[in-house]
Amino acid sequence: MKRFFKMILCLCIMFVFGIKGAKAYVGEHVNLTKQEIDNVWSYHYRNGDIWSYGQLPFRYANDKLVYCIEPDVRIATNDYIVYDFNRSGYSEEKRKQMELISYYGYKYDNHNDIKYYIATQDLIWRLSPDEEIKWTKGGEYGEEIDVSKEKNEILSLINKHNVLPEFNDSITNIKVNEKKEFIDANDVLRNYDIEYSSEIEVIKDNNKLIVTPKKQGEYTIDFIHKKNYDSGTFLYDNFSTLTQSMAIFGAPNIINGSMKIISDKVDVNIYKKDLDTKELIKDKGIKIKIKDLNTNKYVTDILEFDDGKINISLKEGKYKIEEIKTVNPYLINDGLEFTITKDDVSKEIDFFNKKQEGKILINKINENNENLENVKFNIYDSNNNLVDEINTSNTKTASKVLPLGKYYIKEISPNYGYELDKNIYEIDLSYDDTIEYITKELDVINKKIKCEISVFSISGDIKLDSDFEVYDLNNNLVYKGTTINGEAKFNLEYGNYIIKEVSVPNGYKLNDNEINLEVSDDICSSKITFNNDKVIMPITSKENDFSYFILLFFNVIGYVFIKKTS
Amino acid sequence: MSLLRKLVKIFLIVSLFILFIPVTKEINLKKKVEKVIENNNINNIYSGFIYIPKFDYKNLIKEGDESLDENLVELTNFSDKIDGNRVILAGHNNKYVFNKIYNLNIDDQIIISNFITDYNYKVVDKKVIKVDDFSYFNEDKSLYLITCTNNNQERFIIKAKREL
Repeated sequence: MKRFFKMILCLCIMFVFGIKGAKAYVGEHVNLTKQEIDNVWSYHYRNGDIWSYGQLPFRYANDKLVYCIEPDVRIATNDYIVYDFNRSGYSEEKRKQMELISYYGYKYDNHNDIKYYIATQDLIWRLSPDEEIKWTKGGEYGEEIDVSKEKNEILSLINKHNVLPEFNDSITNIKVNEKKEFIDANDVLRNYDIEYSSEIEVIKDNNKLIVTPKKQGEYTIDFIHKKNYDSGTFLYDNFSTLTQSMAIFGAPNIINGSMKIISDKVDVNIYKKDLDTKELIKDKGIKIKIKDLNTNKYVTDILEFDDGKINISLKEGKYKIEEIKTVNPYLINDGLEFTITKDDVSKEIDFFNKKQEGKILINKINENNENLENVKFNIYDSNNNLVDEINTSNTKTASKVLPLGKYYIKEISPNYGYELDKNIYEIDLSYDDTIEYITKELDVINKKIKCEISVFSISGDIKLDSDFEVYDLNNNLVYKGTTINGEAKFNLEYGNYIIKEVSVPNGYKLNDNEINLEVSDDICSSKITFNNDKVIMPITSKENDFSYFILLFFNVIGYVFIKKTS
Repeated sequence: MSLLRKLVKIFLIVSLFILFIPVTKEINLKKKVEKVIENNNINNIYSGFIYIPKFDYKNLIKEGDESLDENLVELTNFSDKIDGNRVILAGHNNKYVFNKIYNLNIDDQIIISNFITDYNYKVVDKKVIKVDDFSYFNEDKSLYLITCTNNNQERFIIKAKREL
């Protein structure tokens, strides 16, 4: 058991001495070492006279650089004892100044040149009363070493010791994956280390901070003032030998800061594409607005696609793209809903537009506005390519769906009995964003083929002015005419007809024969002749027979004769 | 003398028979007319019949020249049918046919029939025309009755208008 406690005691002693080895502690004896520096001499003046001089070396206590704090006192020994700095006789204010000089002096940041060491020691020494120092490369009148620039830089840093970066305490909104640069106008960023979440990328480049959130969220970037020293401020001295006091300086009081980054929006790229080809529509003029479906309010002004793309940033939520305006030849998109979730870091949206299309309606009619069937048309595009063939029905006949453009319609074969229309009709299926489909109608009127019919009305050599009528097989009167000087000419369409003479001049007998007439491709011109007999007034002169009266008279005479002779 | 008396007696007997011929003829004609009308023109020989109430005169109408010889009324060859627009009838000016039409006056009634439908006409005019003048027969819905006059040099015409 005793042995165990002895071991514990030994470990405690080793621990204490171990700490002693790492950091100074009051009362510790330290053997100062030095490292010479060639040709760096300091000359100290008081009242214009040289007071002391000496070569400047690096001096180390426990491997740590120590600075002289009594410029006019010689170094009589290397055996130093660690004291509390208060024993130096310097005020608290001077101590803080020394700490700052030490902090920003040699070895701070890029202060590695020997001149910074000289400047640091110079500034510390000058805190002693009436201190005037000249630095040379040897001898009082040797080449002077000018460290004014380094001193000014150190003093400038000291002046800004309590200054935080300009964007300290700021709150900045940055989209996810957006790279934002913060340049510190206070020029102190280099004095600070930064700490931040792994979900945000922060690059410190001298005086510039480059921030890129990688996910949605709220982030804090902490500014931690750099600590160059890990020890406190101590005095090294050996008062018994009246040697110069040395000191090692710890970190001065430091302040930290932070800035806040809010990344609650993600990059939303909306691509305007052709529905069929899936290619970008780069035309200018396509405009949209975006509505938040949760609040039913628009979250953007009118946005116009630039080179087929719109870039915006949106928060988590449910949205709808509403198209305000489209361009030729595209139809308005009814809208597209999309959602941005908490996990989204960006959103790529294809917003398609369908090209407007159209149809050509061919209304093939005759002169009586009746539809004609089986009339064949070809439709050609502007490059004279056949794009559709149409065979008309008994109503308006539609072409197939066609892209917008100019088309040429040509009749290929007419309906039987009709003339071929040799015209070529141009139809322009032009863009109209107010309707879904363009429909253009074309009325093509076919004239019926008409054959010349000659009708003659005669009576022997006499030419009669007679009326005649023409009926179709449904007994519909289709023509009514009169022969002039025995002849009439008129035109009839293809078909079967009956021609009747309906009246003749007085004195002539109506020819009541009904003549059947076929008008067709084969029989187009016909001559019809009505022969009319001349009328003769009936002889109605068979008057009463007076012979009966004569006979009666003779009968009376005969009767008288018989009476008288009997 | 006695021979002459015998001859006169024979003459008297024969001529009495002859004198009865027209009476018989008229009676037979009337019978024929009544029979045809009664049988409703069963043989389709006739085009119709005419009835003039003023004289209680009735006769058959027939196409063709021979109808005149039969003392019937002829539907002339430039006439429409009985139901037609212009009906032109001709008849001898003897007592069997049209010798009484000279006595027809304006508004007197004439009826013609095709055995199916009766058509009423009223006399509107009467005129004497030349034999080659057909221009008088130009009015629609009219009935014309023709008979000879002035020793066959002219025609006496009765024009009657159909009553609806």
